[in-house]
This record gives sequence, C-alpha cells and structure tokens, in this order.
Amino acid sequence: MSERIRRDDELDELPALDEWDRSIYEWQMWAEGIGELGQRKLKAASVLVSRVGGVGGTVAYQLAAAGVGKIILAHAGQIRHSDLNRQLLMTYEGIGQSRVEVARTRLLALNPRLDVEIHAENVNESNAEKLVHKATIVVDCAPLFSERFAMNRAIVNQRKPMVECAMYEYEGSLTTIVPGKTPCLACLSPVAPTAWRREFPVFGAVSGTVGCLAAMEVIKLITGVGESLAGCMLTMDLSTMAFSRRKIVKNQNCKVCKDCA
Amino acid sequence: MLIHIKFESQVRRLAGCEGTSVDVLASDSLEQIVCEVAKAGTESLRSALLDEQESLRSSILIFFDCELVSKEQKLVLQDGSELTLTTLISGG
Repeated sequence: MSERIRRDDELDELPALDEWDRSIYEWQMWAEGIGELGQRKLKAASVLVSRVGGVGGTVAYQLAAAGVGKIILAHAGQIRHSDLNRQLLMTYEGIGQSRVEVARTRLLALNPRLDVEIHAENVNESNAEKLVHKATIVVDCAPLFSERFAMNRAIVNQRKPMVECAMYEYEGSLTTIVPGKTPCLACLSPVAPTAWRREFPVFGAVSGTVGCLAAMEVIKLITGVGESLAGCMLTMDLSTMAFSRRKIVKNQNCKVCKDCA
Repeated sequence: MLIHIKFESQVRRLAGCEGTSVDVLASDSLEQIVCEVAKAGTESLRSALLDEQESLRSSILIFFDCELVSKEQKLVLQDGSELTLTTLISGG
C-alpha cells in the first residue's frame, strides 16, 4: 500500500529547489519516482524523531542526508559512555553534554540548511500531542513502552502516520502505522510485555540497520514511492540474516483506535 | 500431531532455547497450545506467556504462516506446522 502524505493539488505549495539543493541531491533525484517533485516533497516535510539513540540517531542522520526540510528531535539527558557503542550522532567529546544539542550540531554539520528543532525531553503523556502536532510524520525509536504508547495515542488522535521501529539484541522490527487503515501499536499489544527491561543487549550495527530501514520508510511515505510497511511488520534476525515480512491486523476492540475511521 | 514452536526476542531469551515441539490435537485452541508450551518451559517463560490466572497474556504475539493471529482464532494446523511466539520489542 502506498501512502501519499500530500495530494496533487497541494504540489504548488511545495518549496522550490535551488542550485544548492540540486548539487547535493542530484544523485538521489535520479532514483525512479523521485525527481524534482520528490525532492521538493522531502524539503517540505517535517519529521518528529522520538529519541536520537542508536535507531533514532541513524534515522535523523539519514533524513538529514536525504534533504528532509525539518527534523524535530525529542530526547532527554546527557551523553554517557554507554551510549557510544550505537548512538552515532553522539561524540566522545560530548560526554556529559545534552544529547539533542550534540545531535543538532552533528546534523547541521552534514546539512547546514536543515531546520532542526530540539526538545530535551522524552515523549510522555503530557507532551506527546504537542510534539506530534509539529510534524507531518513521526518516527518512534523510544526504548520505553510508556513513550511508545503515548506517541501511538497522539498519532491516532491526529491521524498522522508513524514509523514504528525497534530492536533487541540481534533482532529488529519495523512497521508503519496509518491511523484508520492499519493496526496501531495498541492493537498489537495493549500493554507492555512483562519481561521488558530498560537496559537491553544492543549492537550499534543492529540499531543502525533498523534506523536506515526506518528512514527509507519515511522517505517512501513522503514521496509516495514504492510500497510501505503499512499493515505489515518486517522482522529481522541479524544473527542469521533472516528477514520476514508478516501481515498484521487491527484489533477491532482496540481501545486506542477502534473509533478511528 | 506435532507442531513446532519458534521463540523470538525476549521470549527466546526467557525460554533459553530457539524453540520446541508440542504434540497437540486438531481440536486444541491456540490458547491451549500456548499454555502447554508455557507449562513445559522454564518458570520465566511461563510467567512471560501466562498471567496469574494461567491465561495467555495480551502482550504475546503469535504468528502463523507470516500472519499475526489472535488466540481466539481457529487455525488449521497440520503435522509440522510452525507457530512463532514473540512480543513487541522496544530498544533503540
């Protein structure tokens, strides 16, 4: 299923590309279905990335590279030593500094035209609606289910698509939630798994793989290219390189999205 | 008939193995099958799969033939069929 976030009658409102844009994005504009129009859609887009850790940092970096116009980052706290095996937007010199401040500096070093809005807070029930309101697409990379469920409720309320991505040890999973059309996160699991622990086994290469796939999913949603993971969950086990695309279905009794047409 | 159970993510870690096999009847419900798996497994696997009333937890995802299925669903299982038991994951 292809999900276009803008209708054709909105195309006139897209920002134009200049020579600077063309000099940087020329090679990706050669990709089938992108061209000048696709690049303008990327330039017009605003994406909220919840957490800029191993997954979210990679998502943000790839979207910055692709020319997404605005990225909103939400992540509390300061860089710690234990972040550095996977959080590629962070730096050793930045240990002790604000994660989102360092992330913004790294993103602007790659793409100085990027509009980066930072929030030194994690998503929660009280700020999720406000943060989601700022974006056209949301990417959920949080380590806590409470954050994921808060974000899920907000995107369902505001009918905004969300790329839901996660990893654990050598495994990763990815799906795209389109409220009213696909299962929401609560359809899949109304409560957090009992065994989930805040600290989890993680390699940066696994987080980065999931982050790159999530970024590609966002690019497809924005440009309308290809086939998204709406209604499907991509799971992967990088210890065996086994990938599986699984069909997921709405829970008709879901307390979050059952009234979402 | 013998069906195979594959564990993924934290369920695999709690089970301490990649999977198991279980002998079931064609009339067994999905919940009955998972209960059998839980009771034959480690205590941590059991508590991850079943709640205090010995019912399947709502956080457990069951996949059959690459499709998410609900515990109420009646599946046509055959000898050698495989079910995958897992949960959502949340790491970044």
